[in-house]
Amino acid sequence: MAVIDLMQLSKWYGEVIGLNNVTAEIGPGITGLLGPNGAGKSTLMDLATGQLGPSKGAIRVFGACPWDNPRLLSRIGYCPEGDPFWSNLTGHQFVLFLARVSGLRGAAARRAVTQAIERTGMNAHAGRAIRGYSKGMRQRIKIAQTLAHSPELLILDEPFTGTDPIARHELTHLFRELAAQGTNILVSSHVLHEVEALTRQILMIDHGRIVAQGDVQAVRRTLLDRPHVIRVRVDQPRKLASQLAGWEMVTGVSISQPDTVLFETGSPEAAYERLTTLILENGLTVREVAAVDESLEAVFGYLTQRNAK
Amino acid sequence: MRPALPIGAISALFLFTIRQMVRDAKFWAVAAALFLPCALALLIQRFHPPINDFAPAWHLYHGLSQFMFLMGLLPLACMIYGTGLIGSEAESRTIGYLITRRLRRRTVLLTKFVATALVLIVVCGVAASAIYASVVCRLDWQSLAPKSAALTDWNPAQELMVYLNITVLGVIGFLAIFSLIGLLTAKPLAMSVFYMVVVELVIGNLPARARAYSLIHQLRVTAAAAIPRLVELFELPSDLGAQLFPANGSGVPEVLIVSGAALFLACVLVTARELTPSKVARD
Repeated sequence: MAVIDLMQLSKWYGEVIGLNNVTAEIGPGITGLLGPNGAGKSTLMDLATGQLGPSKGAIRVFGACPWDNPRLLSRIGYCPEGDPFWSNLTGHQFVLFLARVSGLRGAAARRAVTQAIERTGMNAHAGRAIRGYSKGMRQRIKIAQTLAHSPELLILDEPFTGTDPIARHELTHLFRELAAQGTNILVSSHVLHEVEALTRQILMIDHGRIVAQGDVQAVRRTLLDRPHVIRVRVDQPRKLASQLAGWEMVTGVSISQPDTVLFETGSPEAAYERLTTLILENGLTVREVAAVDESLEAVFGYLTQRNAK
Repeated sequence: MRPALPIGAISALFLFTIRQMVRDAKFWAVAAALFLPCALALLIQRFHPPINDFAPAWHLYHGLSQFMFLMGLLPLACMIYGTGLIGSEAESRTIGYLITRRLRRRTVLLTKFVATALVLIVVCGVAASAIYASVVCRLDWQSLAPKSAALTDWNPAQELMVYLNITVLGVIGFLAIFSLIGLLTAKPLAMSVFYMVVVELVIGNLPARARAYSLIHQLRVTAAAAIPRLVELFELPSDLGAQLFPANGSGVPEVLIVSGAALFLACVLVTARELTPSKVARD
């Protein structure tokens, strides 16, 4: 059974489209929600937590509509993006208050809060006011409040933003541990490798549409088909460009600056290998070789165009 | 089967609302403003020539209580807190924590309403008592009573009780109205000021029956029912005075009906509306 079911789901804000006719099933375990800024990730999460209502279509979480549905929402732990805090509270007061609003009482609430704070590594800082926290600490305390009432589904909006590599590693470990214990997790990010470290199940969205869904390996294979643009800064750009123009795997060459050659290829790995040989054979002095469009935005752009075709 | 009322969650939100309210600097600014009539009373008495009877004190007490406290400061305090009851949480996006939990949206609204009303009732009650203390407690009762033929039956302690009851009614009524305005519009403060000026201060003071639509007038009717001499303060023609302040009248049902209706509509709105900040860049 799907944990989250999106049925021809659309959401728009006036004339701005947040989600556009999305149909998908998000299954148990960890699912990574990937997309560049403005793709519609937070909109999807706000819809799943009943903060927003669909403009069209429907969303079901554990088979029920989340809007103003406390029975369902008490099964969800939600970590919002950004810094929504009552910043005069200490971390402990923040988590304890939200645990109590989630229905925990007395000693059970205090015990659950202590555990949640420990799991996120915030014991040493829980007594301090949130206004004095670093970005990483804020992320951790937000995650702690999602854990205290032991929800069956965690909805985490960009939980890694602002965290250092150690915190990222620890949080990744925590999420995997929770998933192994049966917690379902929907986690959003605009960084592919963050999500890859967590799960193989991904949902990629861009401009409010799903551009790829399923196993991350399969999506990666799709990405290999796209043309790559490679930039080479070299002392003899005309000589390099004329050589590259003769290659079958190169679909376009240009000299963008006096010392820079840009070329497009559908086989980047083979191109990099052959480029090395070419440079050595011709005695060229190379200052830089770099992929121009490895960013996730470029990947999403490609997938969006591909889907449109 | 209906789920049980989440008492623990409600009491947590109730206590949290009170805690956050009294720890905010805004609260102390509002509280200080509510004590202005008391300060003014002390100032006037300090520079006023000695009085020979109760009349100046009676006018000072009721003038400050009616025109400065009930018509101005109490609605202002309710406006500040009512318009932000849900709106301030929505602007800071902390509302997301509250409506994704065990509480229905209307329960969040009502819990915050009751907690806020309770704090305002206490503060306004103390401020109303301070006006009484600053005027009445300073009177030389034994020497003035024989000289005050027109006010021999003046019972300021009983009148204080009337004002305390009206304070409760006023806080409930105004807080309900401003909570509704806070949910109705993206510019609640501007809309509330407009409402206050047009409905309460202009219509509410017209020498005509239209003033019955104002909450301030209904509070005065309630006060006048218990303190008939109060009608003199408003300097109305006698026939209009009798119409606007009927001898057996009471504004209590009107205030309660208006408050109930405003709260009901606010509950409908908070359940139906998305509680997002007024200006938001959404991913």
